[in-house]
Amino acid sequence: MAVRTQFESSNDIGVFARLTNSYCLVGVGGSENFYSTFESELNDHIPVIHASIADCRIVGRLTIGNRHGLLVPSSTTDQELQHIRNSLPDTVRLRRCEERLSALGNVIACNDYVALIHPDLDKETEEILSNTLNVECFRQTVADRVLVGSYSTFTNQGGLVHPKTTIQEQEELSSLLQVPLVAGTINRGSDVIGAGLLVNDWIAFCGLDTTAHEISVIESVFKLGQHHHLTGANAATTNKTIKDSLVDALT
Amino acid sequence: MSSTFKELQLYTDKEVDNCLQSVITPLKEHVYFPSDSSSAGHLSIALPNLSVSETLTCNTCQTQLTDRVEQTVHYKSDWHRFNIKQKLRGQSIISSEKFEDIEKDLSSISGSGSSSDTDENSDSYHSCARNNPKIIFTLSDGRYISVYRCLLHGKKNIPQESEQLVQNAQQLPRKIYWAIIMLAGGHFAAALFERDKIIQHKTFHKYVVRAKQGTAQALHDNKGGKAKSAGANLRRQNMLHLKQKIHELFTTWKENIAKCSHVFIRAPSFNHQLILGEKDAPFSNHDPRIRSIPFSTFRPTFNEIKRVYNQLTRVEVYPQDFQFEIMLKQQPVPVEEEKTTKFTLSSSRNKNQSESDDSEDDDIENTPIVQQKKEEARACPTRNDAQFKQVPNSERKTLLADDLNTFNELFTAVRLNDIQRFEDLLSHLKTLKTIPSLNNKVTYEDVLNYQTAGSFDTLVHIASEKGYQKIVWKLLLEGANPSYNNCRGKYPYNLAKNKETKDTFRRFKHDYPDKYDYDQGQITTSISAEVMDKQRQTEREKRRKAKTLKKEKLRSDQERKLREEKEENERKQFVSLTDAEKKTLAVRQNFENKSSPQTITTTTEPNLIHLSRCWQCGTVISKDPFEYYDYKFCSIQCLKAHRTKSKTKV
Repeated sequence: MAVRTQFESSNDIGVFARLTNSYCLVGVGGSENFYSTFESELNDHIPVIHASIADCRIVGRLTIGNRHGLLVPSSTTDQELQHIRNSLPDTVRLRRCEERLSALGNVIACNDYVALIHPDLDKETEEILSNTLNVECFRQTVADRVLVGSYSTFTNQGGLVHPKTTIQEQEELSSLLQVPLVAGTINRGSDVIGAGLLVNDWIAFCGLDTTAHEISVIESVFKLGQHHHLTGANAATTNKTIKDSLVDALT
Repeated sequence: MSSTFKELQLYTDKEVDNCLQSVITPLKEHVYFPSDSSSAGHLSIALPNLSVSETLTCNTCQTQLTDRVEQTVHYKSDWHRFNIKQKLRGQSIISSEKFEDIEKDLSSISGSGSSSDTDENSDSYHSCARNNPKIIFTLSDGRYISVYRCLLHGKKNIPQESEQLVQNAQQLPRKIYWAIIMLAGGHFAAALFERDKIIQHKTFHKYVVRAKQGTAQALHDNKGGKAKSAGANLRRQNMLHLKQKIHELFTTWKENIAKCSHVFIRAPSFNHQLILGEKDAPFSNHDPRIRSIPFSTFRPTFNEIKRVYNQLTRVEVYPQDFQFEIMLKQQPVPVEEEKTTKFTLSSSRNKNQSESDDSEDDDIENTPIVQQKKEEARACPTRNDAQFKQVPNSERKTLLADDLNTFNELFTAVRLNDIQRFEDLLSHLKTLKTIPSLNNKVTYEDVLNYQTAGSFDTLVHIASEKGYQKIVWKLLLEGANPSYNNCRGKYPYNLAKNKETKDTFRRFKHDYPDKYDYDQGQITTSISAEVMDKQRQTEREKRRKAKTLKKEKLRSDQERKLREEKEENERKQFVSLTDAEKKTLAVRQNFENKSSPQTITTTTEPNLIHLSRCWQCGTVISKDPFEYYDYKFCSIQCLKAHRTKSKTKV
């Protein structure tokens, strides 16, 4: 299932929220509309947390996380850290990390097992990343762009990468990440996938401008929401997959 | 090195032409070519069929990987990181073998460092070219030939493979037209060559550089406010003239320059724009014929141009068995040798100046140098120079058997610090010597200053080494000279066992400033007994203070330990309480706090214990507590632990 939403008339919802399999951070904003979209979709499964990082709402670009942990930049204040800590599930590790490239969401893309990172990222950060998020880190570019977090998004099911990624590169990345990949766009042709799309193993949120075609690509590559238009037997299997990923998240 | 090399001149010596024709390969160390891209990666067009790809290639490094393990290892390797950065910089990637070579030179390949530090290694060909202005080729007959790199290619047309380089070398004898242009500081010199004949040449000079201050007027103007002086205007005008003149010259030379295969240009900084690059400049920046001169040159003159030409055309032919490694290694050695000798010299001198209690392990080799130094430095050679040489046997006063016996007795007395006996012996000797008798050739002083065979130690040496201050004083008083050195070049003062002994010498120097040559004996500044006493007193005081401080510290340490123990006990006590008990305690304290703030300060003991403790671990909370409900904690960990505990209870 993919849901279209907007943050105060901006389609770049990925900037203002971070979605993983075990929690969702939403930037504090003037309107609660954005927050309630997430709350209504997710509240039964995972906590939806109002958060800010260094008094900024762009939590999606500043943080990186998966079901194992959450990494925040060093600019995060103690209070914010405390709040996030108190709101996160206990199994999720929270770490602040001293990194020159402080927009962690832009320079890192990850699922629960692997992460693509910016080639210039510190070795220490790489270590913190693999300890906190339980991921294997690979220094790689996506379509010759170093901001892998901005130009790609992937979950345990699949991934969407920058539209100019060559077939060879897609294959390379796919074998590296061990998930199927598709090159595509979001928000009616925008190439900043990370900014337009929030996705975990069972749900996706995208900007209001996203076309039906883009949505269908997203749903198929991330294996989402097939139960909407499938028969009962298939719906059962889809429900099972959701349950699986939830169980996976809770263990 | 049995075989040496021949120096030949290009275009004049026929042998060079023959050699260049038979060039086979350039030496690996002097040229570097990135290996040509071997396989272009397989091109199979796959539609997004939503399956995990099984291709195990790294497109960045253009390598095939065998399995997942190798893949993950590869993507974490420095090589991969390096190649990614190369790719992003738009530079060619590097094969793993090449990378290993680079890695050897580098202590660490920083992936996240600034781009400048990797720049030098990134472009291996450039760094290689910079370090080796000459290329050495092997010839078909096994000999070697070395040619300036700039004769074979410029910076714009770097050959991609060694064949091209070899081709260039083979064609070199046919490229006989050269131009050398030099421009610096208003001096201009240019010449056209056909082989070693000069066809045309021209030199001129314009006043453009600010006298005494340096830097050209144009550059100075760029820095800030334009100078309005007459000189400044003159120089600006001259600059224009210079430019015009150069352009005129090159238009008249146009035909000949067009023939040239090599154009060597030396035009540093602002001069560059006069010749290259600008709209109406005589040469374009992309002209492949343009070369820089790979060695330092002087002021542009006609003679300098000729020198440059000679230097550039010089070609060395090395015999087959010539060992380049030796040549390379031998250069830096002499410098190092000089350094080491310098070092040993200075170190030994330092040793000598410092209080040399450790004279036993002094390096024997060093002493001659030191002594020589001293000889040079001595202002008034009162003593015979021979005394300071290693073996002053001839100069050493020998004693007759009688005197030798008394000396030996004295010696033992000194060694055993037997003052009574020592004084007896001295007085005995004195009376003996005052009687005018036959053996008065040997004086009282001679006996006292007798140097023992072998070590050349005098009595003062022995006393000083043992630290017998009284005997030292007595000996000095009686006339034993402290300015004799022993076989190791040491003076009694150097051998002094401790500071007190040294002070004895200094005190003596103060009391009898003219008795001996103290400088010779290396005795430092004199010191009076009062000053010394004062110094001792201050030292004693200092020591006393340090002692008391130490004692106090010990006491405070003990107190703190006690306090900590107490605190630990209280903490344990607090932790053992149940939550309900803690709560009641807290409430009571709150109440007491509000009702009687003064009494709290007086009766702190039982109250303060539980005033602000962490509910989980019981430690005193110093800062703002973390809290939920009424519970207060020292850290998030405690809070969490407590919360989970309470949850499980419920």
